[in-house]
Amino acid sequence: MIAPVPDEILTDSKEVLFRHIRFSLLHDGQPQSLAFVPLPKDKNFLSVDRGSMMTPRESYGLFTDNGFDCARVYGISVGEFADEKIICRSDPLPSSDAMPRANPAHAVADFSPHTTSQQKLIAKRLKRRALSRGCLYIAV
Amino acid sequence: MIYSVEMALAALRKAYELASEAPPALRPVSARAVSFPNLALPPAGEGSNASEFRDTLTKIERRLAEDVDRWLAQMVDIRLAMTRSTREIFALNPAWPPLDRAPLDKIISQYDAGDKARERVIRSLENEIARIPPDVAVRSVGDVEFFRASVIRVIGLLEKEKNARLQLCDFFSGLRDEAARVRAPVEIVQGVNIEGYKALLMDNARRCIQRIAEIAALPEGWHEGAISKIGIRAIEIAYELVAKRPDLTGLFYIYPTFSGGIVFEFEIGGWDLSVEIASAGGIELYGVKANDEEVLEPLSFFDLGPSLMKHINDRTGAGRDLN
Repeated sequence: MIAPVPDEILTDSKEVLFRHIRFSLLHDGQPQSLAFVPLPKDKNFLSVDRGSMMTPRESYGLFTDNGFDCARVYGISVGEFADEKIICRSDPLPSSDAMPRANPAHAVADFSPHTTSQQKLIAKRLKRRALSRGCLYIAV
Repeated sequence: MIYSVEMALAALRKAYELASEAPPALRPVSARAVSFPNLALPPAGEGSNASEFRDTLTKIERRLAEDVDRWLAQMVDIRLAMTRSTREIFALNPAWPPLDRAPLDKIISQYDAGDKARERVIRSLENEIARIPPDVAVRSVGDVEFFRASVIRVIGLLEKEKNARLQLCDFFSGLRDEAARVRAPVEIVQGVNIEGYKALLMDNARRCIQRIAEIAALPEGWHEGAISKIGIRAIEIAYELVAKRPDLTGLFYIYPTFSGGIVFEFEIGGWDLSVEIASAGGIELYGVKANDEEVLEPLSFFDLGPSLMKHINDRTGAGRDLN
């Protein structure tokens, strides 16, 4: 595997980026649209994993090994983010006390050009895209 | 009602199309078409090495595992979607034409055929283990053992997928039988199965109330320790919304928000809408139109009064039957 370059803009529009959905953000198997926008604490950067570097199952395993809960993995492509004027960048994460496993496939989608109100509408469109692609991995 | 039996069957057909779609590695229906020697394994002898041979097998396994994961996840979604939509549709209106079971039976038989094809693929791979293919047999003992272990794992994946498909098929058969049962003659008022409708509303309302209770029970810091407990006022308004719009309860998906509120998401009339209740009780309505660029920018409301309801009804047509 080629080591990812930090802060490199992702340009392959077909590359699918994985988004983890927590149990609390699912109702009857349907993910919440706000799961597809950054939390306030994330300062407009949505965390994703790169599909060119790992499978959905591997992404799930790494995420949960680092102590996070995850019910499902969905995918949104770099091109679909770009359609919403959202740029994606590589953001490999080293291991740390809080995160025992390094994540070289980590990336971020930059929502900073959009207001909170706009992000809510974008979240709905991104969720629809993710649902139309189908769930990529489900916790068993 | 906006639904029809035809829509339900169309939804089922769509689900079955998805269900019967083979992952790329499994697409051939002929058992003979799927075997490792046909998957471009590097030849033994000069120019080939164990590493290349094993890498190829590993890549095949990896791709198949990814396909099976995706497929299993989608089966869960299909079951959930069918439970939510098809059962409601069949229960509501006995005035519709008698349920035509033939399309369902046809889909199920196609599905069975797909499973039989998979069964043949699995048997074929088991034969591969019993008699190692000639182009593998000429390789080193280590390579042959690697091949054998790889085939066993692939068979395990295929068995897993096949069993899940069988369960889904049973589920659809049960749904077909249930659809026939709930369409038995009952009291009809203005074309609507009143008893069925009331029971359905109760079921849907119970589902929503249960979900709100789950959200209300989330502890402080429920999401990565950073999110506050859900506000009491938001919980009260959420219950009020369920009581106020029983006609929409079957469509509601309900979630906590990261600011301590509750959001109802629902899709109707071509709109994907959200009613977001802030922790302290303020309400926003916003949405996007499916298959269109039209959007509803967030509108603010103080309560669940007529103004908010009119905005919902204007976009969806929901509630007309009840008003």
